Amino acid sequence: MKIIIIASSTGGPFILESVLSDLPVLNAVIIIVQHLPPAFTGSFCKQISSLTRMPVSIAADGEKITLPHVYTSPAGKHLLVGNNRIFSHSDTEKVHGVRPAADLTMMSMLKRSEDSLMGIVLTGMGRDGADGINYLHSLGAVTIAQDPSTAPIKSMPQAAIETGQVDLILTPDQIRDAIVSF
Amino acid sequence: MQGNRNVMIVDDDAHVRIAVKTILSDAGFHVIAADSGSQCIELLKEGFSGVILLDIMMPGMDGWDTIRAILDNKLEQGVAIIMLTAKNVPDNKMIGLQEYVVDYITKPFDNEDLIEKTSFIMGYVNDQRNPGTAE
Repeated sequence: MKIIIIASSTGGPFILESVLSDLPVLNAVIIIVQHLPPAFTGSFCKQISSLTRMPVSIAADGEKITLPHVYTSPAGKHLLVGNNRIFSHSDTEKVHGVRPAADLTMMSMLKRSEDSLMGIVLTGMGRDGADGINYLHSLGAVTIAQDPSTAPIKSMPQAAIETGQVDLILTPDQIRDAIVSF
Repeated sequence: MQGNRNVMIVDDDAHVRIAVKTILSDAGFHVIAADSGSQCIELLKEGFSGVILLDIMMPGMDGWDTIRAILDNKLEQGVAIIMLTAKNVPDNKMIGLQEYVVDYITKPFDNEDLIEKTSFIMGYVNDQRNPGTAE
């Protein structure tokens, strides 16, 4: 199973309009961890569903991953993936000031021979996603950071790049191409 | 135009308040202005809902203090915050608050970018008022 995890924060909803623009149905699972006020979680999911014909929903606690699908993070809870297949929610404390934290989602993944992983860090404040990218790279994942010059807030992609474990630094349009060809 | 079109510009610089009000009013938004974080809180208590364009660097209560006050007073329902600031890099005061900043526009801003992002984020505010299912 191809599993793509995207970390996104301030400015992300607007950037994702390019990253997921007219996205075809892919033989993949895309998990988007977006920092947002909890009240906007449903609106964000609805926005993402308008960009692709892939099924889109908020990942539910205990839900089994299905293919193809785009999952968005729940409101105010960390999103973990057990055995790369089952979602769970967590109320543990914020990580780098955020919950959901993409770091925890990425670091819940396992190396499985039948899975191919990709990690992406988009615009945002702070450093969420950097530790996750570092970990995913150690599992053999393809790791991508948004070109900071294209990000409204450079901190998150910059922190990911500074780990030295980012394979590709790409513009939003290039990230879309990388997702489609993954 | 349908739905909420309310925008509040919060900036201690009168030139910025006037510029934003002119640009967004011409684009069909109803714009009110606050010259401080405390005035922003007062307008929220009076019932404002819509998009808040919030400067970070203001005397007294800065942008981050203002967001904390919005949360402390439970005034976050029905509003979406875009930071509008000359500051290129957010400081450590943003830790724990970044999820409440949906987007970020750096001054001097591009008029079209301001209109486009305000319209986009306004969609979230209106969807919150009229929620539906994603599937």
